[in-house]
Amino acid sequence: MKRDANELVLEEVCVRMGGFSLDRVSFTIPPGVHFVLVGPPGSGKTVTAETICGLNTVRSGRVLLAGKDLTALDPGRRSIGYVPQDYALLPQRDVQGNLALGLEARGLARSERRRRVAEVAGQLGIAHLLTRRVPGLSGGEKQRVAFARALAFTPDLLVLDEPVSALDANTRDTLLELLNHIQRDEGITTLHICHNFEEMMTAADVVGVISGGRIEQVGPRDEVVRRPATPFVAEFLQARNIFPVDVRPAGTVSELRIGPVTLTVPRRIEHPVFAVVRPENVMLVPGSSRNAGRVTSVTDVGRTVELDVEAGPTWHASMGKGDFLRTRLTVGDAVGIEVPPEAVHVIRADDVASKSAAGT
Amino acid sequence: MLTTTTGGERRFFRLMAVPLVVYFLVVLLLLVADVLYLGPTVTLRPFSVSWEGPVRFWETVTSPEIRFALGLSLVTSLITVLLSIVIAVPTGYVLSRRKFFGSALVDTIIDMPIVLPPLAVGLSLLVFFSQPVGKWLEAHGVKLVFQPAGIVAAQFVVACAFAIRMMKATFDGIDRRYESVVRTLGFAPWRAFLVGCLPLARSGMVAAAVITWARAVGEFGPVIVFCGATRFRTEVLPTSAYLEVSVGNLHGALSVALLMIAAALVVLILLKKFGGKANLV
Repeated sequence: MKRDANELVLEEVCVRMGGFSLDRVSFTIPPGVHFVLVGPPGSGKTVTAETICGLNTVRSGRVLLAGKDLTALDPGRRSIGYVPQDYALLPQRDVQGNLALGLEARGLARSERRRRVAEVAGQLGIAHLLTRRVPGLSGGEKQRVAFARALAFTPDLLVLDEPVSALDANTRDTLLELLNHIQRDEGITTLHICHNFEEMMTAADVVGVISGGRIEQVGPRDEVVRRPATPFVAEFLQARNIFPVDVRPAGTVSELRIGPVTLTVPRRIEHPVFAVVRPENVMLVPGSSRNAGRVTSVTDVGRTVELDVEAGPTWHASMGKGDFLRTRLTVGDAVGIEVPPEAVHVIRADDVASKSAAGT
Repeated sequence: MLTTTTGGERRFFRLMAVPLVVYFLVVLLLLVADVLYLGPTVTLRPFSVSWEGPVRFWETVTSPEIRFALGLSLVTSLITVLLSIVIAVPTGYVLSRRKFFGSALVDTIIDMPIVLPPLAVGLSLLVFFSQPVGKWLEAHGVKLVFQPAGIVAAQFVVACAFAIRMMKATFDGIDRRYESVVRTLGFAPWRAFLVGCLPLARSGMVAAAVITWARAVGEFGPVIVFCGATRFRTEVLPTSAYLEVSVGNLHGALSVALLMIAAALVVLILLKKFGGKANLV
């Protein structure tokens, strides 16, 4: 059932929690968009989620949902479906008792509650669990129940705090697929918090990166991954080749020198920069003397093979299994490093310095 | 539960279990001594069994004085339990969930009756009601000194501190995320407390009630100082035991004590059954 989706806006939100604070956090989640907020542990993700849900006091700034100012509104009157990290299902109630909580709070008649609980349980594939007690459920089942409880009262916004981080990989993939399906089907605006790159790539339309209580970057998922705004964002999103470079502008192109490796970018750069190259964009040419390096480690991580190459600094490359089997590289092999010009992203070093100064 | 132990571990646990066995025997022997003292007397040569002990026990515990004391003990202790839980649940919740200016000091003062000598509690109550505020209360109908109602006050002052301590520990053990999530689902704070917190505190409440009752029913010092020991008026079971000892009737005192031990056993069984941790996910 598609409904009218709502836009969430955070305007310069400041929150203080003991020694930690959210510092002028601003971002917008357009209606119906799945927004993933990522950051390292302790960066303020959960505080942000709780603040949106009304569980923390906002010192300054505003939280707006569908144009309505929620900043001082009681959590119970915000119509936000919240799934916390540990699900917080009430152990004294069975599954249907948990699913009906939001409907009870809204004073729905018992028959209407039953109908809606059955509907949402069917949607999440937990109809067979309705009379089960919570302590006997598996992690994946608890997660589905928590989703269902958050969706049962048809909220205006869904807030998911690390919803699948405690689950095994297979259950996590299945649940993310289900979540994406429901989120798109219902068209509900969603804030999803995680620290896992694969989870972010699977779920996100738009990504926000937070660190130390401040938003580092917000943008469409692929844009943020391809063009991180700061070395921190690049590193957090697993662009493992981040080097300060010596820039040589030459006409309409620039050469970036990183030790013995020279990369060319199709534009003129006249200021100091960091070069960012994702490991999957690093091509290793066996035996090549151009941009030469030596393989120092080869690690098979399942779907890909990760290689470290010593060429001045250490370069990290990621190869598909097929490509790797064709090259048959081993430790000690001489390789040439090639990077397509469009895969080289540069971050102005003076931007980084000014952001660091602003943060101190 | 599968437990694997090595030889070293077994020796370690055997050594650690020595004090357990010693203390277990101390408690057991005390109980056995009480029962033997009140039980039938067996003479081997010539063989005879005297049932005088049990008969006297029965006569003592069914005497009008002791029946009155038992009734008064039960009534006052149950009122104390109800009052203590009514006070301890919100107090324990606030102390657990909120830090406010002076909260550490408040917490410490609330604990004072636990560590105060019982006699001091009775004396403090007596002194309080001789001061202007106490006198004003008495003038307005709160008559407690040397009155049966005073027994509840004397029991309450001490027992409530235990109840508050237990309820605070119970609420400390309940993740506040339950209430937070329940609030986001649409409940006002007080309903979120009733739906998302209080049911999880049920075991703790039962345990607090049981401990409070045990404490209240055995309270002696404050009761005798604040309410005296008047037969058929302010005599509760511990007072009865004291009065019997004071006239040299050890058998009578022990009979009363055995009644209290039986009550304590029932309480312990209830505590073992309901007093565990709240069953959290």
